[in-house]
Amino acid sequence: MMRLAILLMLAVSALTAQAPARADLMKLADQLEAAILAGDWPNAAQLSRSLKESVRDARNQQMAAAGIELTDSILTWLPSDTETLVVAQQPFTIMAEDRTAFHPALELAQSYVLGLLWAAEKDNVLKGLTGRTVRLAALAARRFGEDEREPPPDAQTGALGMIPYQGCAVYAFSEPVKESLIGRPPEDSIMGYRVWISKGSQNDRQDRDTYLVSLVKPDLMMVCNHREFFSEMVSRIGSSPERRALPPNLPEWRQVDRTAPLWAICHYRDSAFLGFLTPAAKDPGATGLTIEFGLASGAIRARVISKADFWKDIVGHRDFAGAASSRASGPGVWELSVQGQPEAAPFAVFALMAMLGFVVLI
Amino acid sequence: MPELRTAIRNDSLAVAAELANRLDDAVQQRYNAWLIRDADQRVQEVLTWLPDDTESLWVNQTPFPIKPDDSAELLSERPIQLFCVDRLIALNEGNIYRALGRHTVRLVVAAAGQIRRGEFGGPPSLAVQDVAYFYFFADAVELPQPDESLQGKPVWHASAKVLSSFITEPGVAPAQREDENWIGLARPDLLIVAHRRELLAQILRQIAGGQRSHALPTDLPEWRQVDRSAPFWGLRHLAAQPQPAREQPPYVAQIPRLEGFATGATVRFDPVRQRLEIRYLTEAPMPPRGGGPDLLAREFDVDHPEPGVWRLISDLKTRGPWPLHVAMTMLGFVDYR
Repeated sequence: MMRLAILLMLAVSALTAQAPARADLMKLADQLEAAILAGDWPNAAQLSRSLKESVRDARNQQMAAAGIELTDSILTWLPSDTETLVVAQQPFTIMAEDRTAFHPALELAQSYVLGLLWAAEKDNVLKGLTGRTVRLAALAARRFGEDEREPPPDAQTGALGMIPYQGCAVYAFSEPVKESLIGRPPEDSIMGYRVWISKGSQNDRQDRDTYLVSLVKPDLMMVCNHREFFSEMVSRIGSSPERRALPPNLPEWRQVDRTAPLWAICHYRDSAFLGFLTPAAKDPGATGLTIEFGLASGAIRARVISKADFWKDIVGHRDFAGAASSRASGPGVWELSVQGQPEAAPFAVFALMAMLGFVVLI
Repeated sequence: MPELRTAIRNDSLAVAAELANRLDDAVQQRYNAWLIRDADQRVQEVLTWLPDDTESLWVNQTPFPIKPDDSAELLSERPIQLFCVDRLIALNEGNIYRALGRHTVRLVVAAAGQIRRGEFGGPPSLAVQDVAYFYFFADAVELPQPDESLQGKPVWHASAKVLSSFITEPGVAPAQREDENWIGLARPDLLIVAHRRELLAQILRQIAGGQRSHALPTDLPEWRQVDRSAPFWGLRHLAAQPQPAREQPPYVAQIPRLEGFATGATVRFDPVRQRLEIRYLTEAPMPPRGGGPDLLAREFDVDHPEPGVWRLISDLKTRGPWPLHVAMTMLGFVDYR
């Protein structure tokens, strides 16, 4: 009886919390309409901006619970040796590329999550989805820097661009996506899922990788650059695997804030990985990393679990524009904070994504 | 609006967010149009205030808020805005710019005269020519105590360190000098920045005394080539410059130079589409392919829409901001410092 009462109270409080929000939105819409009709454009511009932000916040709040649930599901689908998971859970709209626009760190990080969608089908699927809202996007990967294929005969050095990795991304859209977007019948069927296959690349070795695109649900698209990774994932959908990727007892989970607009977790297969990335610095012996983008005022936070402070040698990097600082946030946990200064965003995202494994060689 | 209300009522917030975005884009567009509703009249006014020997004029009619925290690096992503405010940012170490923080500039008109060719025929140094900027704000602005009064208007004296020469020696810091400017608040919402005190005084006299003259007269051929409805437009007319010397081979246009090669130029730029169009008024042909002209071919699509007019079009989305710097150089404007 007590449990039922609590549930009823929660339901009532959810309803009462929601009702004023909707009423507030309707009131803002009324005020905006009145300002437009009166030709009061300065007031209309302010009200319209408020309405846009309020509706966006309400949408994000509405989608947040479903997002956490979907992320939990995705975690059960991932191969058990997945090393990195990046989750963009604040809904965002896919925009056409604009090289002249300034992009804050959150948007730059979201663009990494869209990387597989960009590479598949020669960018055509991504272009076809322009203007659509992604309610959640998750990118999971393993075996960074490993390439099981023979190097191309003309290869003298490593390709410029993204290093090899095996990965899959899941894109959840606010509305169903039609298969006709791809413009041809699927080439394959894996575990009953219709799969479109294309050649492409995330680096300067053209058409080196094979991309698999599938609509596992009408509003859920999966894009992978490795057939086995895809097969493992779809085979786990709807089942309860014995071993979960990035299991809940990993210490990294205690460091990550899963309410952040975009968060990432990485459990290093090789604790020398960060040492490889920064050969000039002393290898910190890192076992894991967590990152959050889009915190208050656009700030970024990253925590590395390691023997030594990895950040102390890089916080002073001029491309952080003085926005970075570090501290010990617990035993063996070192925290980097980057304030939301726009100048710091490109380097912060580039460096932190590389630490997650998504190293872009330039 | 009805669809947005329905979506909110039905709790379809993903749809509502998309509709609210679209509605806001439309409302902001209408607001910006409202802010520049009188742009034509204001530009006409400015033309009557400017000295007769004004050679160049440009107009930015895309309103923007002044955000003192935005760095020059960030502003470089919005080059038109940077051209609008780079002098203000530099003067008195940014104190005046900071005091204007959060105000919205609805219209900027800038003009230059006595444009000099730079060293070795390179771009002119903006710090040495006659320039005046007119900032029309959306509301009245407040500034600290003025240094003096001209024509009964508050005036501030401001300076910045600028390069004294584009020619530098390797390993030696470029020489700098102090560049003086005068700032006047002609109306509560109109700020004028001028390079010479006498120029500011002359403009303020014109404002006080009514409209008597017209810089860049309406019968100049450049006016027929300029699109005054563009978010950014400009023109330059070299009335006092010699016409292209046909007897001096090679007789070809030398973009971005106008002196001795062209009678004038016009510029229009659409910051949304990032499309730049330059019209270069000359009887001279474009240079042949190869060497320097490759730069032209790479950065611009060039055609010849009518006799005496070359049209250069560039898509800044793919080319980056460099072609815009070419256009501004042709108008006699380069980076202030």
